[in-house]
Amino acid sequence: MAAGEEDDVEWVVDTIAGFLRGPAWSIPILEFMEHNCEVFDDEEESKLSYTEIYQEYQALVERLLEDYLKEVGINEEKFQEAFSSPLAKTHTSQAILQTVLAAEDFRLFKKMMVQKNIEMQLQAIRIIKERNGVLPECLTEGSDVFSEIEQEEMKILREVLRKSKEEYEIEQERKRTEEARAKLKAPDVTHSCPGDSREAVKVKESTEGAEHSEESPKCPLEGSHKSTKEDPTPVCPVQKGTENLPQPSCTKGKEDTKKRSAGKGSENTVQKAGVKGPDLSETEKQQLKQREDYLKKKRDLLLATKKESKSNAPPPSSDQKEEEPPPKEEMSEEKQRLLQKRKMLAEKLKEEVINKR
Amino acid sequence: MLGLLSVIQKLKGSPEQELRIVLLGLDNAGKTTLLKRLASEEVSTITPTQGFNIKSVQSHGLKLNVWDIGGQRSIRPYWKKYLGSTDLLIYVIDSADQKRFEETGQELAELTEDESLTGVPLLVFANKQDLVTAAPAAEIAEGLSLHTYRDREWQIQACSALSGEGVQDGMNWISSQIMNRKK
Ligand SMILES: Nc1nc2c(ncn2[C@@H]2O[C@H](COP(=O)(O)OP(=O)(O)OP(=O)(O)O)[C@@H](O)[C@H]2O)c(=O)[nH]1
Ligand SMILES: [Mg+2]
Repeated sequence: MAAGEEDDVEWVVDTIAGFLRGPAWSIPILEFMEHNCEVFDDEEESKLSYTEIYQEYQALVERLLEDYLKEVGINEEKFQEAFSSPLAKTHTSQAILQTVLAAEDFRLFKKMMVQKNIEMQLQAIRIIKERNGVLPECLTEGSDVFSEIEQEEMKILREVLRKSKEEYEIEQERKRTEEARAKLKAPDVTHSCPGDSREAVKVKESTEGAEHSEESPKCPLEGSHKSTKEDPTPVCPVQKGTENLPQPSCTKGKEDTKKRSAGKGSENTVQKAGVKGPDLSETEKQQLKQREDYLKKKRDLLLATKKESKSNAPPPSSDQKEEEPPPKEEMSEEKQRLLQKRKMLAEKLKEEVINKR
Repeated sequence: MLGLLSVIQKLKGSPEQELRIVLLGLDNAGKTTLLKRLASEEVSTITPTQGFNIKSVQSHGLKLNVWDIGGQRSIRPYWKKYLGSTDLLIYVIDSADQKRFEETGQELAELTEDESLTGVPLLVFANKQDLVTAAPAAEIAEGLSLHTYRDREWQIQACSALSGEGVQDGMNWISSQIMNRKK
């Protein structure tokens, strides 16, 4: 009797923990974060708009949880009983629970969103860098002033990224819903292959990053910065994709690294034998291609704007100047430095956010 | 609000009691200065709040999560979004700003009528007492007709958020309220 109850409790806890690791939870959560993270900055003061987004998040979390509990037939009492038991602590981790806890803790939510925003900035930087190429030796001399102009550029970058993501995700939405539904019906698969479709979504981007790594020699600085979050060696896209697992936790980097070194083969197997049919990934590939093209266009537009504004501006009197962009001739080199600085700043920000946890 | 989540919340592992306190009042009243004072932070470089601030303050073994929301007229309509599950309301008044006593009284009256604040204890800080033109707390209490409040505990406390004088007395009243409630 008592043992049976304990089994029951364990089952409930494990089921829910599995759900929280699976795509039916993590995809909508990650999508929400990516859609909404753009306004979140690291300022101490919060914007009024955060509150609205936070309330939407609460509603989403509540809906996802309730729907799932209903579907697997766990009533609220059972749920409460299970999560009040000591088992809940040993069978779950803060990392798993974080996205849930964020629905009841505004400051945790804000941290998560700020971090997501920074991650997306880094992605944008990676894309831009790929397009512009990077100098073999990363020259980082000069000021570390993050000028208004650079900030302006970052804003545009983020806007570009956000827009493209939105468009892409609208396209994807219908299919995702279907996928999620399909996976809900097969919970075992869900557990063994966390965030799988997400991986596929990220593959293209990651491939870009990997290609880029091959093309341009790494500078020591970049290498060191990449230590946990980004793999310094070009790896297969599937594995790169795991970085972007929808769990913005501080242990993510380490876990991923472990996973990467330990489970390379099996992960690929999972991916191949995964729940997604080949037709799906084909379509996805197509859509990713579209997205890439879109980003390309946007970026070209952005670069054109930059060029224009710079050719109109007077030459700078010194490196420390904040307002005046460099003369046209220096642009390419200057661009490299800006990119480098931007990356450093983003890394710094990211570290801060992550370490603050 | 989220019944399911409150259960999971327990796994976060902070055993101490947390309370939600909302800090309101007109713009320039000194809310953010008070918040920073409570958190023992620098109070000399504070700018008008466009959104809101949250800080956790330890007081008498309690963890007070204090929400300071901007008081500019354009922001006031948003106040009510922050009133839910509030354990205690702190209302800050610039005691030297006699011209706006009526305005601040109206805002407070409106707040106390809000359903989410029914029965919630109210602490009024008669702030900026270091200014010679500051009205005494008793006068402000009368102007606000605090004595007519029947359905809630209230207290008015003269203070200077800038110097810190009187702030601790207010906090003591808060913890006594919480202790009373627990009994
Ligand atoms: N003399 C004096 N000045 C104060 C005191 N408290 C705050 N101030 C000043 O009043 C001004 C406004 O203070 P804030 O704390 O920004 O006021 P607030 O209520 O947060 O204003 P909003 O954010 O616009 O709602 C600042 O210049 C403070 O230095 C005080 O006790 N005495
Ligand atoms: Mg303020």
